Order: sequence, then C-alpha cells, then structure tokens
Amino acid sequence: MAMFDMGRRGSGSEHERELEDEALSDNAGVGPVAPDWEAPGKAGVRSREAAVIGPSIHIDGTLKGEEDLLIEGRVTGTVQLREHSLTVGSKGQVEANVYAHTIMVEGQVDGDLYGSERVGVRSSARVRGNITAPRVSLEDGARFKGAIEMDPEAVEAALGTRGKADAKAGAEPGTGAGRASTAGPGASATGAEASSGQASSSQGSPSPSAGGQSAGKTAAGGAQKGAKESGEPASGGKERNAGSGSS
Amino acid sequence: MSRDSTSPAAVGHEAFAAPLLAGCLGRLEAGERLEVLDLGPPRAANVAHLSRYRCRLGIADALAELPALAGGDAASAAPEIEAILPASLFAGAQLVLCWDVLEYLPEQGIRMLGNHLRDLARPGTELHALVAYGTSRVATHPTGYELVAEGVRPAPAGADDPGRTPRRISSGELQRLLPDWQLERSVLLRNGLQEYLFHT
Repeated sequence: MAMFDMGRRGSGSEHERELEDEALSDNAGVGPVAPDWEAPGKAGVRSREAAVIGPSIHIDGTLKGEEDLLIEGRVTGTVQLREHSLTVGSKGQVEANVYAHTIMVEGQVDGDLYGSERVGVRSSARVRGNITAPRVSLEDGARFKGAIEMDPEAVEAALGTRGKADAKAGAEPGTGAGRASTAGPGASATGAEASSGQASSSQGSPSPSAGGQSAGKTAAGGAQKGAKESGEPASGGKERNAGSGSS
Repeated sequence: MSRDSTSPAAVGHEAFAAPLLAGCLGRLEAGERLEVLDLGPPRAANVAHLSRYRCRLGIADALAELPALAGGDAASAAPEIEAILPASLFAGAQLVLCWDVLEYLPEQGIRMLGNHLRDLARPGTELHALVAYGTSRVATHPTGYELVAEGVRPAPAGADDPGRTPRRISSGELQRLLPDWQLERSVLLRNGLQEYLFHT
C-alpha cells in the first residue's frame, strides 16, 4: 500500500495550535457548526496555510502529514494527520478512516472519522461511517448514516487519550475531559512511521507561491490549478502514488 | 401549544412536550450512558442536545428508504432492510427513536421493521414512537422531528407541501403489528400525536 508523508510546515507550532484551540473553544459546544470554523483560506481560525489535494488527484494508500490538509480530490485508504486539521472539501471524496486533530467535512466520506479535538459535518456533506470526537457538530441538510460517539469516556478510550486527558485535567483545573485530548490516535496506528517530518514539505505542500494564497482560493481555483499544485507531491520525489490521477 | 386537530397544520412546527421520551432521556440527566438509534435524518438539534450527555447516537437516515422498501415481501426485503438498518449501526442501542415513520408504512412494512428491530434489540431495549393519530394532515413525505429543550419539534416540510391525510393507526392495531414489542405506555398529546413507548 502506498503511503504519503507530508512534511511539517512552519505554521504548525504548538503555540499556534494552542491559540487555535482557544479560538475553537469559543464555540465549542455542540450544535450547528460553529461559525468560527472556516475552510482553509477563508477568514477564520483556519486561515493558515494548508496543503491541497486537488480535484483531479486520486491517492490510494496511507496519507500522513504534519500540516493541515484540504482534500478536493479522491483519497482511498487511511488518512492520518495526527495533530492537524483535515478539511474534505465540497469536491472531495474520501473512502478511508481518518485520524486528525480536527476534521471538517463538506464533501463525501465513506469511513470512520476520529477527531482528537473536533469533527464538523457541513450541510453539503455526505458521510457514511462513525464519528468519534469530543466535540461534534452537524448542519441540517447533511447526509449522514452512522453513529456519533459523544460519551467523553468512550471517546477518550477510542482515541487513546484517556490518560492524557486526566493528566491535563489535573494540571489545568476547569479543563473538562472533553477538551483535554490533543494527541491523535494516529500515533498508535502509525507506529514508527510517524517520523515523517522531513518527508517533503516542498513536495507535500503547495509551492511557495501557492502557499501565499489561501487554500480556499486554491481549491476554488478549478481542477486544473488544484491538479497542478497538489499533483506535485503525488508524482514526484520519495512519495509513491499507487493510484493515478483520474483526469 | 395545542392546536385544533382539524387544522390542516395540525402537526405544525411547534415544539411540544413528550413525557414518555422525557422519561427515557432522564437517565442521561442522571449521568447514565445511553445508546440511541434515531431512524430519522441527521439533525443538528439532536446532535447538539445529546452531546451534552454520555451518549452514542446512531443515525439511520432511513425515513425515505423504509417506505420504499415496504412494497416487497418479507423474504426479498430482508437484505434491503439489513442494508438500511445494519446491525453495526444498531449496535447496542437501548433506545430506538421511531419518529415520523409508522404512519408512512403499510402494515407489512411496520411488521418488517418491528421484526428487524426486535432481532437486533437486546433485552430492555426501548422503542419510542410518535404517530399522527388525532391530526388531519401530515407532511406528504416524512420529515422527522428534532430534540429541543421543550421536548420535540417537528422538522418543517416544504412550504408548498399540500400534506396528506395520515393513516391513523390505533394503539391496538400497532400492538398487533408489533407483536414482539411490549407496549409500556402510550399518551395522546395535545397536538394530536400519539406517543408510544415499547420495550422488548
């Protein structure tokens, strides 16, 4: 099975993550998707750079990374972003179990979603699978068939964050267990292969010029542009692409 | 909150109290874990309401599929109903929310659904149903309900939906069609809906 490792970007610092968590927590609860969540590139906490898998790209295998990712293409297999966010864009099709810090679905997913912080399902989404996350939001109009695990204890057990949550809750009075988990389950799922930091930030990421623009614009820029940018990591360098571009 | 049951909008969009449901969900307030299976579509309000508790919410999104299935015979429909309501989705559900479903199914469909759910249920599983009984009109197609602080609220149908006359299922008839489910209690609500609570 092919495996993709996406390199770590400078914007993914722990400090920045904490700041984002704070921003996310403002509307953390539950219920309709909080307005604080924006697709990468739009105004909001998710405005930092994100790698993009364009509409014409099909990846078959294990996709790993240490930066935020927007999928507008097709991914089959497993997605492990550990402590970063994944957005399945409106054109995205994912047939995979997904492990990430935060997951937002606007497109199609057939698989289980594990968010160590949060999972959101937008009205345009079609999801078939189970969701496990401390915080789950869902918009009316979304198609969803599956189960949502909302019991904090069960979520922590499933994500393997039980001990960490307890420790953090103990260290930070007032921090609920549901807010405490920060480590993705990918750690146990991926084992030694998590050492992917050097994998290829230049390959696994949009080009510097592309990085300067919002990922949202990139995604909206059409299939050709998305294919060019996101096609680079799929076709070159150390990474292997078991699938092929569909167009 | 109450409406004239002869009004075409008898099942309106107003929230109403559902005492039997409140009793079931009261366990959540007490801190118990509850596994719920909703046969209806995903609703933001339901997720928001239940995510305050120790809850696993299964969403079958089967309102459109179940009426279509009911036309066939039981044998041929078995694989289809398994696809619509797979055992993996049911899991260990302790409470099944059967809202806006039964009045849209013919007798055979209600039997098939009841039998299938019974096969998946474990001892003590509860089935909560809302059935239009004392109302003159319901939406042409089922739209489901959503949980709100006051109780339950019908999801709105399209503004141009003329609605249709509901198939009024009496309590006795429903018990006959669901022989494997024991009727624990039923309440006729002021808006004309009949609330049922069955258990295995």
